[in-house]
Amino acid sequence: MEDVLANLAYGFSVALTPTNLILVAVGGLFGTIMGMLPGIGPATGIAVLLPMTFSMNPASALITMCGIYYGAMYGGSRSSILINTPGDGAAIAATFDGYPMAQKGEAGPALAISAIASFIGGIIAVVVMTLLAVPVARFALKFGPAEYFSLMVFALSATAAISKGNLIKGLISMLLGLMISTVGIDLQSGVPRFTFGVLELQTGIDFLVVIIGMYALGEVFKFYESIDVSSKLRTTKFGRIWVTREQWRRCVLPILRSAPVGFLIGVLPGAGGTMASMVAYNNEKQLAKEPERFGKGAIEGLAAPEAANNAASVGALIPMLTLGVPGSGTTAIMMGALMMLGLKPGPLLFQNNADVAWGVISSMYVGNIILAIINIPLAGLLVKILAVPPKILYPIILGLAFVGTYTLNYSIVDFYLLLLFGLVGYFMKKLKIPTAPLILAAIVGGSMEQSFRQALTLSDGSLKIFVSSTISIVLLILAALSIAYPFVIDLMKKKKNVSASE
Amino acid sequence: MRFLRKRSVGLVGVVVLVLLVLSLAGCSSDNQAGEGKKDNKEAEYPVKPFEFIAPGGPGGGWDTTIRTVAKVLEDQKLVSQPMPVINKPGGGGAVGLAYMQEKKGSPYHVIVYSPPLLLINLNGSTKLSYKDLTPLTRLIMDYGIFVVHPDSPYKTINDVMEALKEDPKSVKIAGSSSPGSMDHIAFLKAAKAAGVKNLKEIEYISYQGNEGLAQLMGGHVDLFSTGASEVVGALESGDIRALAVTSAERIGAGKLAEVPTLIEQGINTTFENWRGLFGPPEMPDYAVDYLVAALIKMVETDQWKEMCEKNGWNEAFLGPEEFLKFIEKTNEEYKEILREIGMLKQQ
Amino acid sequence: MSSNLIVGAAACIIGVIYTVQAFYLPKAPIGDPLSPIYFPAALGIIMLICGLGLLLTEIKKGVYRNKEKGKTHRKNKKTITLITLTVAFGLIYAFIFERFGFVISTTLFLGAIFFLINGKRKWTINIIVSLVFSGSIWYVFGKLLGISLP
Repeated sequence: MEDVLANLAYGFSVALTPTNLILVAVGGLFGTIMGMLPGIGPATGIAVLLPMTFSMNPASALITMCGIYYGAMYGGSRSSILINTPGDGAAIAATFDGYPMAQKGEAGPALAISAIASFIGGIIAVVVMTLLAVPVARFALKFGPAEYFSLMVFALSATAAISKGNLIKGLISMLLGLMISTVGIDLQSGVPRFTFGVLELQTGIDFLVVIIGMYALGEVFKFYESIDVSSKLRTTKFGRIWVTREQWRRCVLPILRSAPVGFLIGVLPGAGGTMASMVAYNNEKQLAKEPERFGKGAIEGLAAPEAANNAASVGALIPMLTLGVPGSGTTAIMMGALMMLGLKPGPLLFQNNADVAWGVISSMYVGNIILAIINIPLAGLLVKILAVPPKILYPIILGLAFVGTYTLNYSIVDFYLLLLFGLVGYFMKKLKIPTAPLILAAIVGGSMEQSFRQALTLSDGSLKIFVSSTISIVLLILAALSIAYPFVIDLMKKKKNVSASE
Repeated sequence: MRFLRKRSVGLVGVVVLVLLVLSLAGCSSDNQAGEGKKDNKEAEYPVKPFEFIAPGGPGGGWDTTIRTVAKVLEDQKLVSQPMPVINKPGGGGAVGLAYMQEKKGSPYHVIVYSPPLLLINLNGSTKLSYKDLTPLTRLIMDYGIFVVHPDSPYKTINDVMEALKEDPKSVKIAGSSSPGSMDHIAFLKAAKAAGVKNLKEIEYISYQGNEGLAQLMGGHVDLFSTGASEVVGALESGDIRALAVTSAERIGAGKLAEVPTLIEQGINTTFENWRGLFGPPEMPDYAVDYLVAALIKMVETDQWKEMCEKNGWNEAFLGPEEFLKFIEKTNEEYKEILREIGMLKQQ
Repeated sequence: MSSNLIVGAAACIIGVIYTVQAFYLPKAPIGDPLSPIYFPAALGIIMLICGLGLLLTEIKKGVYRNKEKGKTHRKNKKTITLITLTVAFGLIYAFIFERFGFVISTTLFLGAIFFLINGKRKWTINIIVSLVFSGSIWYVFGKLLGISLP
């Protein structure tokens, strides 16, 4: 314990130098802006700003990159809340209740709680990381293909189950997403599937194209329905930016519950922020006393995924820093950059480059505080976006959607996919099919199938491998429960009604 | 609140300023015009900016290589025109290859490739091959490494090969790319040289990115085949143990230098993950000569050597003719292995 | 027709087409040759079952809802025209993007969209916003961030 404190104190002496303070702030602001643009997430942000960090010393370079990384996490949900267009996968869950809040004229509190929840989630995660980084990383190693498969089954079934109104429609949406994920070269056998001879499809359909298409374009198409009336319908009064005591009270527990969940999911290589925020949202909805408020602007439905998502982004750094195994596309780029700076991420990083390792951990505290300070006043500026007449705003969203899509793969093929998914998204909304299961399935579907087959190769074809570890069994039970839970609740309510009417 | 807002506006101003300064600094490198005015275009070349192409996304191996080359050439003023890098990812490099066909005969396009250039043709992903490019120079090499869990019963690479000879399904091999690509071929090449018969039956599990390393550390797979520079950190810390590197002689420093080569252990083969530059098909000779001359000067600079060391690249310069011969030879080797495991689908 | 019926029918069609396509997928050269096919085939079949399930429950309920005509119909028509035009512009945009370069094609595309939804009367605003947008995005991406746009 004393060791940790001494190290941390040393870390702060690195992180609090004026240069590093400015760098983390600049990186954070930059990341926030990048995160708000559709399609440009932390990975692109860091990749394009990489050359600037070459001339810095390793600690400063990593601190800047981390700033961009969290900044993008904070920023991603801004556009979810304001215009129903998530900046990246992890921000999807923020549209569920964040956008309805903005429509009710509560954009200010929504932006504020998302910043606060992100902040608390981030800080909780950093504290856990400070104390337990190495044991947590060791725990993550226990996840083999079988455990990953069970985890993804759990996340998917929980998401399909929240569309309780019609489970079949939720399933159809999920199946569509899984179908999208089968496009491209099959990793286990190397054969192309559903690519129809198009080279660009061999790497698969980028799930960000699906998200941008279904949300940004879908939103524009939906706007067309109300094009003649909408200008009068929009709220132009934004009210206060801060949250009320009552709103805060609703959010405290969800935030505190979601942060550890998000952190743990984030630590697992390959799972990531999207899954963390979806699982947190589903948890809260199932635990809620009035689940029917969810999806209609429940503030805790926004706070929970935001806390989880930020905690996950901290968690994702652990395998990279302690094991040298990057857990996500973004951390992989960061690791590449570290190696170019002459560092070797891994357990020895903490011994050989203590200034870097502890400087970075300390800068996470500082970075989260700075980002909260940047983002809360920024909320006041950002709500003004809603004052832009929709007939100007929506074409601009359209333009940004195309630019964002192009920067993903520099390919025109993605434009056609974007238009296609825009239409799919619009018709799914019209036909009242939930879109969240599709998106989550499109993101995790590929690795779910691969994990399943990897596990079977390892076990020489025996399905027993999925029930041979405690972790896997627990996850599968949770998956079954999450499907059954809504029905059990219904049944109990019916019983209650019956006995009440007797 | 208002105070904060003012401050945040001020902050935005500062950021914009910082960025402007940085971008100006980035642009200030001088663009000298071609020396002397002669009337044929060969003598004036290059008169307009180049286009450097990475056939993969930002941050990947191809991208870092070509960006480093462009930066060193520009910093050392070896090329008088700007060299912006563009990304053409997709199809494991096949999209970039198709793009180069559109630029046939252009003296201003340069692309980077490595073994997948050969493999995507051999496994049938694309009809185009290295023959549809003009080789310029080979620049660097990385080598394959085979690592196991520290508690693994396999002490040497020969233990693994013996086990495979007895039961080809007994050792689960993992790699970071799909079957028939580099990590897989690297291992099969070694197995073949060691006399393992049923190459086709060896179980190979592919993981995305570097996930395979975590899977090995967690004890889920038996052996992980990857690039040597990817595992230096884990090797130094003792989280993994290396059985062999695929280079002809030992490489690197520290723990990596202690890893024996395949040849030392009686398995007479090597596997090289080379990276080199190519022009479009029918690139004019004067352009090839100009670029090769500039690259020869580049690899001698301290800046290039320093970048290689930072990235863990081994310098491996070859001029156009030797490079072509090298490619032809490796292409035959890959072909043989792919044929043996039934993945050869060359069109 | 109720929305559930449409969804059910669509799911059946997608399920059938996808399953058939799945069986035409290439076989794996090493290991179990059918391994790339099992998962897609299962997806297609489950999709078909879900679609049928939805259809059956709807038919059992009976198709009695025949409401909302007239006004909503006209409104729908306008929406569909707008969406079709936007998609058409998008396709043209994709076609000219790499040929004309980012700034010209984006200005044209945005301009077209603006005229479509903001009306012809406000043409000054339309043109100014499209120009400023394309110009500033090009500058920020191309020059400041080093992301090359054509």
